[in-house]
Amino acid sequence: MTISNTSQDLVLEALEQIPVVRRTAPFYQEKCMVCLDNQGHASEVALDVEFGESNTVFRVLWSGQVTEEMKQSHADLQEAVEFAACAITFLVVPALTEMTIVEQASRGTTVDYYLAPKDRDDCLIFNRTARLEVSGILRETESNSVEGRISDKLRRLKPNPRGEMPTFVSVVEFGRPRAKVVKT
Amino acid sequence: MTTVRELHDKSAELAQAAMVARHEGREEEAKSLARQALEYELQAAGLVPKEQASEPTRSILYLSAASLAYQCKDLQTAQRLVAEGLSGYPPPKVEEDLQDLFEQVAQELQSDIEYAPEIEEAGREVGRAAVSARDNTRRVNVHLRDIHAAK
Repeated sequence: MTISNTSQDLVLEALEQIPVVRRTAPFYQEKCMVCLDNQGHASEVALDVEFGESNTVFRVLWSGQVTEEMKQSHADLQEAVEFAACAITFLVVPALTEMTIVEQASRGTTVDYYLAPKDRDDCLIFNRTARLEVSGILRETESNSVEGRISDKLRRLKPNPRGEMPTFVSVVEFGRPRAKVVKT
Repeated sequence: MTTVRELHDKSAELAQAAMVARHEGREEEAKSLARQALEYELQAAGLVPKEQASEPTRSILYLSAASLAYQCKDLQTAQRLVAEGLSGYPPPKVEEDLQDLFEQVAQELQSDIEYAPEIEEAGREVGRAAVSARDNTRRVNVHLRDIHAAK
């Protein structure tokens, strides 16, 4: 059964309140604004988020305008889409779960994200954590859909028979816009 | 007292800034930020006891520190930190990530050896010495022939 929740606000400026992205929040915010603007959306756009059995409609809010300079500096939107998807995910996951982003480590082209309970321990900070896989689609097509991307990600995940570290897979699409989050 | 959490959050914040700097083409700044992040992550990892109950925190902190060392191109340190992570009780996924990073670092170390300018220069010197030795031998042979001819 699908449960629909009423609208909640996702304020892009609130990225600054997440410790890990405090310094880089404007970077993520700009990518997100540019992607949504590219798809004809403005602040207050409704974002449908599917997580497990629930559907939640968020209102995505931000201040400021997308300038020509910002658009020109994002000629490669595919790259911006990945960061924009992260921005949305970093805000959506804490709104829907008891987890928050705690780590982002990059190795070459690979980026790892971890989620931890909001009330995590002061020492064993990664005990009870989950991995986070994020992906972005500017505008989905039949061959490049949110569901298809989720399936690809799930197929590539290594088995986790003992369930010691679950994975959240989040795919954000900016055309409609919508997002789907799955927990393994 | 500073906690693992505070140290790691500081490290993660700097690592994020390094990622953005690298993305925007500010390579030197990215390296410097990654180096600062590494210092905090090492302190955090050092506070976690090496015992099974500390996992996966301990191995993830060493994986993170090794990744930062790798970003700073401090490959030897990266290898040492991967080994430290593996020496605990990493869960399978983290162990696999540590091993992947170890291979990535090992490959770069190998290519550094293959393309190291000092080794290339040493090779040239050996080549120059070989040419010089060959020329000397030819000169000696010509000289010996002249002596035989004179006899």
